[in-house]
Amino acid sequence: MRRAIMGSLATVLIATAAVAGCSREVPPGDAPGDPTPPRTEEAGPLVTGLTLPDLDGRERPLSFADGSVTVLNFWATWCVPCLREIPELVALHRDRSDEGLGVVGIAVESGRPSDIRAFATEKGMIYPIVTSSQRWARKEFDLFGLPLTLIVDREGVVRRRLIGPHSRAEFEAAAEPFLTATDSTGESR
Amino acid sequence: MSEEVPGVTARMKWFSSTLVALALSTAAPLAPMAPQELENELAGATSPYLRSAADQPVAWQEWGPDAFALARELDRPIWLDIGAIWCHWCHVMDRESYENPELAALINAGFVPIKVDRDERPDIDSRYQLAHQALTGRSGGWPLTMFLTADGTPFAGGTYFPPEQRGETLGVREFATRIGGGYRDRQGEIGEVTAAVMEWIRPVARMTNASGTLTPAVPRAITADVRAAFDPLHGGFGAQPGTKFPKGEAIRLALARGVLDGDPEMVRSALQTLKAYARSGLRDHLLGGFFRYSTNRELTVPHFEKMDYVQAALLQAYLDAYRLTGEVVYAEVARDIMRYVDATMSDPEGGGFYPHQDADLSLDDDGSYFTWSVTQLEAVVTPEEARVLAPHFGVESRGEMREHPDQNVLRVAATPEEIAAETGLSVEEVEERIRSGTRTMRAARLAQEAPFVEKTKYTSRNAMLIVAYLDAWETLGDEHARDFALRTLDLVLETNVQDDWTVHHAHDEGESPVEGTMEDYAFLADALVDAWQVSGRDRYLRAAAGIMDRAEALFRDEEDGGFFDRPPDRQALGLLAERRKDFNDAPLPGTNAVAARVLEKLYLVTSDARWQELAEETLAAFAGTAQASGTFGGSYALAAEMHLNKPPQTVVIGPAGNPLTGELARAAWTTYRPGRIVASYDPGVVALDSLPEAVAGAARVFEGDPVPRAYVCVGRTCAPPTSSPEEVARLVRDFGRDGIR
Repeated sequence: MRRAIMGSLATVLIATAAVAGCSREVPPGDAPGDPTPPRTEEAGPLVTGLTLPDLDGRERPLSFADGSVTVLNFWATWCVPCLREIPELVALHRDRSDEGLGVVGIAVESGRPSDIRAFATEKGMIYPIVTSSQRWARKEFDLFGLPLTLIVDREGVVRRRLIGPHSRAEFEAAAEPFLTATDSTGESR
Repeated sequence: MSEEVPGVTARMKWFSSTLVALALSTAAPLAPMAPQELENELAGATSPYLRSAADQPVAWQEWGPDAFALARELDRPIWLDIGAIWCHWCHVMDRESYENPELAALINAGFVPIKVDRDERPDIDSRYQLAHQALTGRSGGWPLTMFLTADGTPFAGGTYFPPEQRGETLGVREFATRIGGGYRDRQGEIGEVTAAVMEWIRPVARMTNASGTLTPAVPRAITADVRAAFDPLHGGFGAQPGTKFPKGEAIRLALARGVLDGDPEMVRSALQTLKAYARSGLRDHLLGGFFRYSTNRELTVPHFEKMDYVQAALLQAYLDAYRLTGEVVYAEVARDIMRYVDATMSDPEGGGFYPHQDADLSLDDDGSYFTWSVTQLEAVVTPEEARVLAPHFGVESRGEMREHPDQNVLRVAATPEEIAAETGLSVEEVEERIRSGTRTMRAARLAQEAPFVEKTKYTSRNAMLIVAYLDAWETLGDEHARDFALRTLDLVLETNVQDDWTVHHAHDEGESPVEGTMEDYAFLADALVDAWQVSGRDRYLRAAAGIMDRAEALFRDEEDGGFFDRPPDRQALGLLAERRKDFNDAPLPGTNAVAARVLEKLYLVTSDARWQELAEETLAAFAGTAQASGTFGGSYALAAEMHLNKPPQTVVIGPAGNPLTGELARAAWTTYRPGRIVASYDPGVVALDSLPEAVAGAARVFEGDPVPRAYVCVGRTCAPPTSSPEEVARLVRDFGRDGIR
């Protein structure tokens, strides 16, 4: 019950934020390394308690059990902008997961797990991958476009919402405030 | 014949005084020349326009090394005449001067005369038009009459000249005697003029100072000028008395930005202009299609020649309007344009589009094939029909034509409702009489000999109509339009494109082909990408990429960006040695604007960033000067907007045999969103590993769950897939737009 209320409240919050922030959605350029600042929005739903099936069909939580900050990346095998940021996410997870900053990928409407696995292997996606329908992603996280990346703090609270492909540096900058924080205010101490 | 040229400034005007002085003061009698007899060499020309001058007493040469060698050998100036078969005043000058044996003898004695077909050699024409601007300070046109040194450098010229001096206007006789006579004695002065002309032409042709940073302000400035140029009273562009050219590209820009920026007034102005064109004398109300331009602000008196590029640009503008508004009137005009092109401006058997139809049958008529007197009308239709048709088409005893004052240009002068109110007939009766009477009038015209249609199939010009016809398939579902466009494209590929992607401008059996310019490469690649979208045939996309690769190697300006029209050529004759770039719609869509659009589309469909970088470079090459392009900048501004704000890309995955697949594609096609890209893949037909990575991803999803789906992405974001045509339409219309999900 608490989950449901949080979910719908969060949806309203995100929806409002998304509409208000949309004027920045279209970048002045589309080249990789585009200097446009990442689009970030304050958000607040909990991912704690939510699970999705991984590529072996086992339900898996969306954040790390060890209290890491999670970069939760909604992507798809058919989504060109998503493919562009995968190498950035791979590098981020490789270099930072040991120090409490890891990536979880949510493959949306991407077909059979075996195809997703083949794709992920080819791309060297070493981080955990779970699968989702678009209906679920829309209901829980108001997903309307891919890629979408949520920065989830150690408490399982969504603190940032990044729309469109981003660089590793941008993900790190968005996650940084929550790496040192021990409460859920988002402020460093 | 006038031509609109952007950016003619007064600073070149000093040349004209210098030159007139030169021509006038050089009043020495014609020096006796060596008795070298030149002969008219045009009988073997590939261009029908040139062949039509083969019997003239002027010893016309074709542009080429032989003619230039002759000029050097004889130490004579060149008399350059550039014209076109559809050009009324070219024919007038032919008859008055070039068919006159006495004047021809004067020309033959003092010059090496060279005649050029503007449509066959746009590269020569564009350079000497620029020289005309430099020398006179005025926009040029046809016929273009230029006087060149033996090496092809212009030192004097004009457009139409009367046979003898009329008032202050010098005639052919004066130019032939004075320039021919003074050429050798006044080399010093001529040298000064040619040096100054070349100094002016070089940077203008190369556009050396045109580059800048491409920001949204550039296309916005063009859009604002287009918006301000609409004539609220009569439609079209420009509120001053004078000529008005139909501008399909500027209208499309106004529609696009009006919709995307939420500017309903600009959309209204654009739609009003399309409605005004449709009612006006610019339109052929019997046979379809549009004439080249109106001589007046009211759009009642056109020049009657019909050009392929006018049909192509307006067809697409009307299709845009239909897609945007759903109002049938726009679809009707679009179909009416195609009816004309199908019947007259194309080769139904062999495939291919023709470039133009002449205005007149002879020099004594001024468009009489297209105009009507009251007597002519009453002779073919019933009195009941005439009572309705005369007010409907504005046919009165005193018409609009200067030479034949009883002749009227047809236009919609009164609606069926107005005629019904006036006559007491019902609206239905009026409409029925208009229908039946129009049929009779059309049949009467078709029974007459029609003005000449040139039948050369030029690559660039065919490509423009292919693009427009494919658009008609997408918008109206017209299968004939699609099939004919693809057949024509295959013909162009077969006859005008070599295996190494070298493109020719025209093909003539048994003759050497006319070398292609960047215009041919860019326009053809544009058509190929669209054909790929419609047909899914990979070879079209490969050809588009191959042709643009070849174009990059041949034409790219490595210093300033953009594409020259010709490759570097040390052997080039005359002004062809000057490198030249263009991006304005004047009157064909600007070559570099089309090139930028193609590169952007190639980037969008292949995700290869190289194309995107080249598109950026091409647009930036003109970004410093494009703000001033106004109504000439439609194609450039649309390409710039496409680059700055990515259009939606729809990928439909599904078997061609499943009706839902077609419905999803059609939903994307028929929805208005500027620059949208739509591609369909049948997973049962295409090999997965031949597909772009993302499309292969979507095809694998289909394998697991075989339901047709559409994937819509805009720039940096993709919407989740949908199998609902309504949702596809919504996404194509709105997804990724500011403030809209």
